[in-house]
Amino acid sequence: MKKIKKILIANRGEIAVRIIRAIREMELSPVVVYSDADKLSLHVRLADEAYYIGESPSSQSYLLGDRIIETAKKAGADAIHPGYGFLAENAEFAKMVKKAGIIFIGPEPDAIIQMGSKTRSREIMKKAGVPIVPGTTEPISNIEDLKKIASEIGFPVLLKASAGGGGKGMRKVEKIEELEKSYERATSEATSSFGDPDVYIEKYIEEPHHIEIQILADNSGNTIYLGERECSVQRRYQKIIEETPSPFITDKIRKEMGDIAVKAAKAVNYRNAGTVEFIVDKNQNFYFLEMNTRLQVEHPITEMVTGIDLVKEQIKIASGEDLSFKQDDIKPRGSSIECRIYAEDPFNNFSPSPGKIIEYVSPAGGIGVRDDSGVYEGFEVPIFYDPLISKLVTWGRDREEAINRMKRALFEYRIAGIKTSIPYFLQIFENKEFLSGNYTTSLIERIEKVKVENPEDYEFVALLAAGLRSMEMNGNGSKHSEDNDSQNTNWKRSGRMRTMRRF
Amino acid sequence: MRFSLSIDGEKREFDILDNDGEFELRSGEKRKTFTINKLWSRNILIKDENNKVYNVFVDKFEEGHCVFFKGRSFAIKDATSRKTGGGFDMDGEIVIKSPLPGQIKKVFKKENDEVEEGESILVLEAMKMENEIKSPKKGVIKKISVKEGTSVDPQAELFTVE
Repeated sequence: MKKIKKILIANRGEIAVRIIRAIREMELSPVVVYSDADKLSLHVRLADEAYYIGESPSSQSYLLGDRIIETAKKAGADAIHPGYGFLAENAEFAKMVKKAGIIFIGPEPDAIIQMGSKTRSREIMKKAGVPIVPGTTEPISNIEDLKKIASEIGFPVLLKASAGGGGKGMRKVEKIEELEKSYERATSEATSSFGDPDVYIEKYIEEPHHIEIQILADNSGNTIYLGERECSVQRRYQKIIEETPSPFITDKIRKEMGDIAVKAAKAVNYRNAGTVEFIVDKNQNFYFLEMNTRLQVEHPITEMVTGIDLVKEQIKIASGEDLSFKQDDIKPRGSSIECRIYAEDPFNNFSPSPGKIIEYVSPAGGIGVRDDSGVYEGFEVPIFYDPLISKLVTWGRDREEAINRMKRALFEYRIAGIKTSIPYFLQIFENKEFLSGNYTTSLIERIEKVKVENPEDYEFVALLAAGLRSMEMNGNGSKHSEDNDSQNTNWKRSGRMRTMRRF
Repeated sequence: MRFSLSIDGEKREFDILDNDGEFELRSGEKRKTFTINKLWSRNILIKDENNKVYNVFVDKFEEGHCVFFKGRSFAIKDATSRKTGGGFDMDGEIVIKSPLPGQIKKVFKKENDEVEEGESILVLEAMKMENEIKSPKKGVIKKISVKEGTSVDPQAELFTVE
């Protein structure tokens, strides 16, 4: 395989920045692409070369595989890193890249296809001896079969769209009378969301945990696992906080899950970095959910405890190198947590909050804090893309230290001008259930019913600050004689003497 | 001094009284007293009656102010001026426009349906998030300008309620 010197990143935002960093540390050259909305994006500023590829909507820029490959050729890039989202799990794109004589930094297209369909991957896993949630491996086409199977595996059951993801096209059914109606709605939802009406049935796992295993596999077939990530803090099936190690599972289960994840990857001849997701019930029985054939958003927490840069490993594997370490060399140390900082308003139904950032102070300072951010002060968060602006990650010798460090970092993080999920995280880190470590995927649903803060106090403070500021701007400050005692520590006097000063 | 401001789009009327360096904020029946300590132009400390101190950032922003503390960013604008939005003229027809570019995922209502204030009319998917667009008042849906699957630009008409 040819040596990689220049890599084009087919992505944007914080993940593009993350990948640039790995490329530069390997003394290779990072090339990026950008849309209209991303002209001033951080990834454009940090790259060696940047090429315009189209209008702001991703369908006219970041999803245009041909144009990205053309650009890679023009720039003389040897490889393309897809990041996550956009074209990362598009087998057609991976094939086209290969055909153009460029290295795709990721698995073979076949592995993407095999793991891309939920029903097909279940079938493959079942054959390989990987435990799957009881249910069907084939789509169900009639209600009679459905009733029969549901009764066999026992209620409650879950109807899922074959082509689904992100919680869409999923429906929990409590009893047999509800089955027919739910089936109709699930198929129609599957058709409208994914253009594919196929649904299958699974046993509904009660008090579930969502735990995943990071794996790395090289071209000689060496496949290892790098520990797990507990991803049970989810809002509407989207992960928002991840941690490693999982405070829930035992070392014995940890090892079993790791071995099974390796088996799952080998069953599809997996190469490069990937993640095997499991659902774990309250008795620590675990079942294969799906495999993500790409880098994960939450990959940094694994890096923090293993010391291994997963993006560098991806690049090395893609250029034909074998892994330089073995399973026994992987000894995770300490504890790590990630918060996904989103541009959205947690106090207004998590609606997107694009706009200009007028103050930005990153808390990435001091021991054990990492801020994988894609923004800066003065940057305008575009309305066209995913609202993830940064991944805030902490490391501690144990879980408690990692959590306290995260609270410190969240406290220091200052992003003004747009709304972010930061105050929401501060609330979660006060939650007893979360702190106990014994929480399931329903944690957030239950937290959301509890209102912790008193917004009225906050509102008064905000109004006062703005009111005072505009009084000063308009020269309406109170009329007091000004003295020049700048060391004044008295709050009353400070208010009195300085109000009238113009800023 | 009297203020009419909107905080995150919600209108508030209140007075700030300067009592010899102590500031009293009055809003309807509610009264709270604060003292302040300015650090520099964009940064003030505000202390409430219980000696709780807020380290507050405040700066000009989009024809108003941005205030930031405790991880929260507030947009505060003059509510007397029309263009700042937030308030609708609640009489007659109201045309609801799309706040973001996106795609209509669901339409719950049809024309001539009666709706309550705050009732969801449709779901707009933008920034990969689903947003429910609600009726600003009780009334009747006069027109729905989109259907499921329609892609909309910012400011595109979504529906009209009377």
